[in-house]
Amino acid sequence: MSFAFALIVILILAILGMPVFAVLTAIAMLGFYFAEVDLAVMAIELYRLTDTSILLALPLFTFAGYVLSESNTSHRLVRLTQALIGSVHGGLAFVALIACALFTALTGASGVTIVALGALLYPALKEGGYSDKFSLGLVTSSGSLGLLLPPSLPLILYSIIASQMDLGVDVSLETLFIAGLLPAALMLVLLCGYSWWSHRNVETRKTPFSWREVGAACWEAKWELPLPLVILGSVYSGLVAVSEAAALTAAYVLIIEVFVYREVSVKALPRIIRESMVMVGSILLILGVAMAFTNYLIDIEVPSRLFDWMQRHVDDRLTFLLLLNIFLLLLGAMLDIFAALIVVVPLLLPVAIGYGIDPVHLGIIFLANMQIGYFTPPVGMNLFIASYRFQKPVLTLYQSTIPFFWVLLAAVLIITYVPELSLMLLDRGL
Amino acid sequence: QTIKIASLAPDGSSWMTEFRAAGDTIAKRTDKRVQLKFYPGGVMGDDQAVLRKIKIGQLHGGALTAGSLTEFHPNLQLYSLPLVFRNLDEVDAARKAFDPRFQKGLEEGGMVSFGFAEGGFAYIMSTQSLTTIDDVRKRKVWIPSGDQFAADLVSSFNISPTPLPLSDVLVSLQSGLIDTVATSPIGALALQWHNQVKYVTDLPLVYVFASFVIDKKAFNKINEADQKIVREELTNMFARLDKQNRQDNLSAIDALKKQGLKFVTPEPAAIQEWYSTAEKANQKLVNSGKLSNEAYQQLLNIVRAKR
Amino acid sequence: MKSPAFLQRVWHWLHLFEEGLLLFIFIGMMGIAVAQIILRNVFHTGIEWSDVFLRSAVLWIALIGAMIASRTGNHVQIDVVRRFMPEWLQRWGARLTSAATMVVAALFSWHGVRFAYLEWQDQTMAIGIVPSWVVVSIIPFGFAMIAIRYLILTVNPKPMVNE
Ligand code: NA
Ligand code: NA
Repeated sequence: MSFAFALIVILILAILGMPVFAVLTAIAMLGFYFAEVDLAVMAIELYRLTDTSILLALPLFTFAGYVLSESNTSHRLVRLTQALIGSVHGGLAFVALIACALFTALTGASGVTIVALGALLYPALKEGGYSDKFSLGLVTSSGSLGLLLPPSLPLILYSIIASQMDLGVDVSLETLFIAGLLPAALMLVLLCGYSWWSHRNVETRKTPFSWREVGAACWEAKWELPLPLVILGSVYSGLVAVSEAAALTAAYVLIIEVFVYREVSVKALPRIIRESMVMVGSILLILGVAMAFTNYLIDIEVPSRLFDWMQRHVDDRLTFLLLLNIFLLLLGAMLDIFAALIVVVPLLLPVAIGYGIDPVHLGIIFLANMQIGYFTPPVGMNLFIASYRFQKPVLTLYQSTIPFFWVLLAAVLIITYVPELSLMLLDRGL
Repeated sequence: QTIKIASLAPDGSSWMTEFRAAGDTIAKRTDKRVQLKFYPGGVMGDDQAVLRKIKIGQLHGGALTAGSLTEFHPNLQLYSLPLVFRNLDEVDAARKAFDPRFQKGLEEGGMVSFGFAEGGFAYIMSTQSLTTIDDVRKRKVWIPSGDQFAADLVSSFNISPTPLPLSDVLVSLQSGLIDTVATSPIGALALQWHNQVKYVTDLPLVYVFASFVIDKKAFNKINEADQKIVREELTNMFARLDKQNRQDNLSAIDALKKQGLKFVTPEPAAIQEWYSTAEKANQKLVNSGKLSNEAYQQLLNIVRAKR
Repeated sequence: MKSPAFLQRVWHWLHLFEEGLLLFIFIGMMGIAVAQIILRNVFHTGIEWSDVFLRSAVLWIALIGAMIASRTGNHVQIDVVRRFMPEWLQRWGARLTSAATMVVAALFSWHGVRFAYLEWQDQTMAIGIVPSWVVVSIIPFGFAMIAIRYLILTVNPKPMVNE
């Protein structure tokens, strides 16, 4: 009774505008208090931010993104894309979507894309004639677009967890990478299609095609264009580990913008560092207390109870897949993707196999759903990051991402109910 | 009395199935006075996080690697000294004598232990055929970042390592950032590293093992008759897993061979160099005072009697 | 409401200290990460404690960044409903949520002290010769600072920023 009362008070405070980190902390503390667990567990969970090297990517990529957005990179990018496909209707949106997908795959961690590329693409899209709402929606929802493409960290994590379970099926990294290609392509095609359709009658800026302009735009961006190559190349050539790629990117960006293009002064760096790290700090704090919140749910065995219930009440495959989609969407709305993977996959896999679902297909379904969860209310991480980065109220972002939500939901449903899409390129019998 | 146990083993694995079965039997035999609640799949964090949570009482026990339990009984490290064993016969002889001592030591340190389960020998695996220490020095050798034990181990052989987090290893093996790792056959298969290496140096580098422990404070709250039941069931269960793991490692070695990995045996002179270098390093570590010299000499006597 | 000159001085130095620490940690973080890549590829060696340092730096950045964000109460919040409330209710809502945030942060800080004390008893090392309680101590310190900031915001709420 008193637990329920306190919970309601906290939820009212949340609606009145209590910071998200404080809301999550309060609920976790309340729960642990009633579960008779020492509240020092909060600090222990927060300290687990130091458990993984993956998180290092967040501050470093964020910094690189801030430096890029302080210089004229976005203008060079607009000039180049316009030179290349400015004559095609909707070309800039296509480029924005593809760039987001590639960048997210590379960084894997949530939010990084919005910070680093969103800050670049949002003004560029608006400059190119797209509406404010559409531009916001595109950058916010595309922040998790490349989750299925190599070398995405969640995909790697799924492979590691599934391989440990000795399922007798090949769930290796390469297999998952290949399986994710067509579903990722489907999402891109649908989003590009939507962008084109929604702006079919709108005047987006068009420029006549000229090889001379392409050459000039390439030359102007000659230091920034190789950026993806620098990151991918350094990882695949064995120069750096995945977890170090962010450091190399940050250093490269710092050198070209400060010393080659000279668009960012050394004197401005302390301010850029402070601004970017204050944002990273707010995000990491939410992530850290969300881990404590998740730990409370685990302590009282919420995930496993949910699955026991499912196993008792669901007996055919289609119903299971439908419930799976709903459950994963909710999960994605509430949990961080890494926590969700670690907690749920070991529980989910045996159940899913019981319903005749290929573990590789399950991995793709799981991540595709999680991808949507990044920007669905109430706790879509990308919504908050975008809110912070663009200084827009969360409500505006909810509204602007709604069309993209429907498009991606359609993609997720196709991916879920057409297993061939994921398994076609693998040489295993269907 | 609910005992909350964390484990890195995922739900559905043979370890967790055995754990749960033992938990059910204990509940039945104690009329639900003692109930074991499991948190599988590493959801409570790594061994360090689990130990912290045991200290504040959120958790009461776990299946923990020996390395993380040395703070309760430093001598545990004797089994994991590099190249201290040459084969499984020596392991069996040593464990017969030392397992009870280690269990007693852990209990005095505050952890009730229900025995030890073998993780197998870690072997050097590489893209190249490595037989001498010098061969290994030329390679890019991975160690887990932040692992002091592994860092000391490689430095005692004068090998300069590449520390990386576990999650980076697979991609780094593919890209060539590293080309040499050390792990047990089970580990190599589970982590998919076997697809990236070609050779296994047939030298049992380090003996890996784990213990099932419950915090003494929590355990003492159970009445004595029930304590006996818990001890009996958990000890039997963990002994079964110990035996099963040995079989699993042997079949994992077969599987690695079937996958085309070549097991290379060093020349006698090279083997001698490996063993003498390791023994010098081990004696130095023991002399530094962390481990009991008396226990170390006893262990050496037992394994030497087997040679 | 104006604070006395002495307090303002303390506040000024505290701000400088926070920002200096943030800069120091970030530059150290990037420097070590890049140095590690160069050392390995050019000199075939490395810094043993670099990875642990980098992971600890993430925690420090999280808390120092959050401390600085708390100066103006600039944390992520769900402001959907608040936007439609009359101004007097907004102001009192802000006081109320700031007070609640202060309590939560103060509690967190206290339990952070207890955790740091546990680590101190263990005497384990985190980064080379730096014991883990030193790394952990940013948790109680950070939350104490956040609590103080929200105490000030309770007494003296910031007007809501509308676009
Ligand atoms: Na999420
Ligand atoms: Na969400």
